[in-house]
Amino acid sequence: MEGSTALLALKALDCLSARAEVTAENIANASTRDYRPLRLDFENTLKAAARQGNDQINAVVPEITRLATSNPGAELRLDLELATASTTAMRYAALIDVLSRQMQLASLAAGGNN
Amino acid sequence: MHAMEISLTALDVEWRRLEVIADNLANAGTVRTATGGPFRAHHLVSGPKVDFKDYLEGDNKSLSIDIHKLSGVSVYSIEEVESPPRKVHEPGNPLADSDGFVEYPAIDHAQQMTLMVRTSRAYEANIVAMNTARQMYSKALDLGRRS
Repeated sequence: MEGSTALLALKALDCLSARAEVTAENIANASTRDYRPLRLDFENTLKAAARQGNDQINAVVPEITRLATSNPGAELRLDLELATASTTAMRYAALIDVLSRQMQLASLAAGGNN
Repeated sequence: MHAMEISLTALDVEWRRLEVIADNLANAGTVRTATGGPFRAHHLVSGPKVDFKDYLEGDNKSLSIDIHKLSGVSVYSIEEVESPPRKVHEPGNPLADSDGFVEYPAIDHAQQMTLMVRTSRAYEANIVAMNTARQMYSKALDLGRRS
């Protein structure tokens, strides 16, 4: 159980860092004409994989899709992209904290309280 | 490519766009250039950096996108803006033609200023994105530090 929690957190970290990359790409293209922003989805796949086991979690690959835009010439919403970037960073930090605490517990169990 | 590198390519592109705008505004009164004729405004064209190999393989149409293929933006070209020069009647000007007209570059100041503001916004957004990515990396370095 503990192993799969760490694995899940690691996989989520991987996917979040990929999302940071995708968001950076979107922001970089702020002045590209007719640019269609990219989206990265992994939450649902990861959730489904978590119910099945470690191998399935390992096999999760984040899915990147290009957003279809209905009105060509629409500006990229920089504010929304920046919000995504900062949400991603916060979630990443939270997961790092979770892993960190787990490692603390493990080291406490291994070395005792001295 | 890492998030910070991607933002870096965009910073470079926006900076060069700003340089082109500054050049246009600085030369708003240049009536003679080395090639003769008035100065011509330039326009920087940028877009996603595409690997030539990927372009040849025609992978642009597939729906799923490989995370490793994200490589930021690049300057495609710096184009001359095709617009007829602005003719001003200045008979006293030594550069005037036989009818007393001087050809000034046709630079749309309002358009250049708007583009400048947008460029600076895009630059700022990329700085913020870069800082966010930096925070993530430094947070990752914290892992296991206290245990």
